[in-house]
Amino acid sequence: MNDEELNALLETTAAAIGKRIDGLFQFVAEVRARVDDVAARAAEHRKPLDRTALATIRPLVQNILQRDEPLLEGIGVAVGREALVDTPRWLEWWRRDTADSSHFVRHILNPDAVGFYDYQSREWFVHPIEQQRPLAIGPYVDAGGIEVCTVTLTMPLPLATGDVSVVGGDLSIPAMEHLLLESLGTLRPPIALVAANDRVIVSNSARYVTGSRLRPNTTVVRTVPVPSPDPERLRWRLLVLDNS
Amino acid sequence: MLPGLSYSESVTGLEHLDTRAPFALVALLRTSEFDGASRPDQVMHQLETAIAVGLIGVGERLPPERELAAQLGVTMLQIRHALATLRDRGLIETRRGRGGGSIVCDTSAVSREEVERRLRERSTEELRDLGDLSGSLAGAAARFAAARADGPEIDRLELLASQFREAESVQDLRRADSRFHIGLAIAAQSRRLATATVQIQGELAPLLWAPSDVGVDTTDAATAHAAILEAITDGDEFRAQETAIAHGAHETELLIEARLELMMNRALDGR
Repeated sequence: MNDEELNALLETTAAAIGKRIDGLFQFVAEVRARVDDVAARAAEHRKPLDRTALATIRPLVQNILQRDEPLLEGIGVAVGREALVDTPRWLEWWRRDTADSSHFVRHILNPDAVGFYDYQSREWFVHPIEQQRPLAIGPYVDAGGIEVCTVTLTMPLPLATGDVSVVGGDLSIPAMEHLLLESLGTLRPPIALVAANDRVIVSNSARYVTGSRLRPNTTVVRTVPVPSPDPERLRWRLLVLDNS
Repeated sequence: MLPGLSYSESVTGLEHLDTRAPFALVALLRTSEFDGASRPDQVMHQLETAIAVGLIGVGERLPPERELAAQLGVTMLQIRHALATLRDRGLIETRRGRGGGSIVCDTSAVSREEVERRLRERSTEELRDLGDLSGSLAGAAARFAAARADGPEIDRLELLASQFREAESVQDLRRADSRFHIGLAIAAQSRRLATATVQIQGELAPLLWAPSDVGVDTTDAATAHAAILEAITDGDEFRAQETAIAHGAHETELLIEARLELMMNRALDGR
C-alpha cells in the first residue's frame, strides 16, 4: 500500500467510525429527550419524579436496543442525587442480550454494601456534568457496572430541580473491532483507534490491544482525527503505528 | 520441600500435589467456557482438561467410578455419563475384569476448528485478560522458584523443559508446556499458585498448541523456557520473573494475532 492509498484508507475508516458514533449519540439524545419530557410532565402536574415515573422510558430504551446497531451494548440514565424523590441513586440502565432481547442491569447502590457501584463519582458521570457537554468517556473497565471494557457516550441532562443527571450509551468493543477490521481490510500496517485518554479502543494489531495506553516511546507514523459534528465530544484518532 | 509437594516416582510429577485426594486439582478445574453446561458435561470437561494439561498422564488409570464421583462431587450416574462421552471421544479406554478400569489415552488433540471457534467466541479483551493472568502467575511462580527451588526440583524442571523440546505431536506439546508451567509453581512451593496455574493452562494450552498445516513453531517457547530456567538456576528472582512475564506476553500476542486474522477473514467475507 503506498502513502496515498493508506491516507485514503485512513480517511474512509475515520469517516465510517465517526458516522456510526454520531448515530449512537443520536440514540442517547433520544433517551435524553424522553427523560427530559418525563421530568417536565411530572413538574407540570406537580407530581414527584420517582423511579416509577422514570421507568416509563423503558419501551423507548428497549426499542433502541433492538435497532440494527451492534455497536450499542447498553443505554440508560444515571440520576443525580436530588433527581428522584424516592432515592438518591438510581440507574435505569439496560443492556442488549441478543438482537431482540435486553435486560435491566442491576447495580449495587447501597453505599454500605461491598461492591457498591458509586457511579456518581465515576468519570463518565462527573465529566459530562462538569464540562456541561456530551463526551465519549473511556475506554475503561466498568467494574461494578457492566464488568467489561467499554466506552460510554454521555450527555448531561439538567433538570428543573437544578440537579443534573447523565444519559449514556455503552459501546460494544468487539463490535467496534469488527467495524475497524471490516473498514481497514488489512492487518498491516498496525493501526489503532485511540481515545482522548491515549488508550487504545481497538486496533488491528496484537501489539496494541484494547485498554493499553500508548507508551511514550511509541512511534506514531500518522494521525487522522475521527470526524465529528462536535469534535470536543469525540476526541478520537486513528494512528498508524511503528511496525518494527 | 513441603509435605504433599513431592514428585516421588510419578508419571507427571503433578499428582502428588495433594496426596489426600489426587483428584482435588481436577475438581478445581472449572473454567468459564463451560458455565451453564449440564453437570455431566462439566465433569467431562474437567477430566478432559486434566488430561489435556497432563495432570492425568497417558496410560494412567482413573480411580474407580464410585471414588471419582465422590471426589468430583457428582452422582454415579453423572460420572458414568461423563466417562462414556470421554470413551466415545477416544480420551479413555475401558478394560474389563482384573486390572481393568478406565485408562487415559489422549489420542485426540483439540481440533483446529474447535480452537478457531474458541478464538472467535472470546473477545480480544478476554484473550488479553487470560494472557495477563497467565503471565502474572508464571512471573510470580518463576520468581518464587528462583528463591526457593532446590536441586532436584530444578532437575525436574529441566526434564519438563526437555520434554517440551522433544515433543512430537501437538498433544505432547500442550501437555509438556502445561506441565512446565505447573512445575514452576510447584518449584515455587506454592500450592495455590499451582492450582491457579492448572486452571489457566487448561484454558490456554489448547489454544496455543493446536494442529496447523504449516507446522507449529516451538523455538520461541523453548528458548523462553531455557531462559526462565537459567534465571531460576542462578537464583536471580528478578530476571526469572521478567523472562516469564515476557514469555507470557509473547504468547498472548500470538493468540490475539490468530484471533485478529480470523476476525479479519470474517469481516472481509461479510463485505
